[in-house]
Amino acid sequence: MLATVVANKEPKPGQSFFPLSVDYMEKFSSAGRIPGSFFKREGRLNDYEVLVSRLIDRALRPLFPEDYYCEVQVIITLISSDSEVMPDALACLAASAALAVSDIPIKEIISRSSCLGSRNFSKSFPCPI
Amino acid sequence: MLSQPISVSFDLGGGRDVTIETGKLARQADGAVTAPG
Repeated sequence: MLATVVANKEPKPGQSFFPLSVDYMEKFSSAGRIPGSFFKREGRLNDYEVLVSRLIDRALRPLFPEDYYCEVQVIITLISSDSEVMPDALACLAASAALAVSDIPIKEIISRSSCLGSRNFSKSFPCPI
Repeated sequence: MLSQPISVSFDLGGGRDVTIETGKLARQADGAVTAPG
């Protein structure tokens, strides 16, 4: 997984909100396939990618300073997938690590884990069902 | 810009390791890491 962050040096004049955009995308090539048939391009994000993007955005947005209005773009790309590991938690960790190594002001570094549990069983980072 | 890659690994438990590496790909970005898992 590759996570990159880029930010403007100065906020746009008149900016009144924090323009953070998080995009999580899974490439077809991560599963060893290429898009074919009618849709030959990897177009818009599907529902799972949108949900993961929102998960990461909701977790990171409060960690920036209140007066920080520079545009920040976080892009997480799944380059190689594993059928036994769900990538959403790792995506959040990678995004947070990318922000940590950058000069972008962020208060805290976060991580995320998925947990699966029942009365007699619990496991973190479960494999996809 | 980093001159050489820096890699950190830690154990998740259950025999699974997570590695985070920076300084190799996307070096023009403000921050970039790869997480091979």
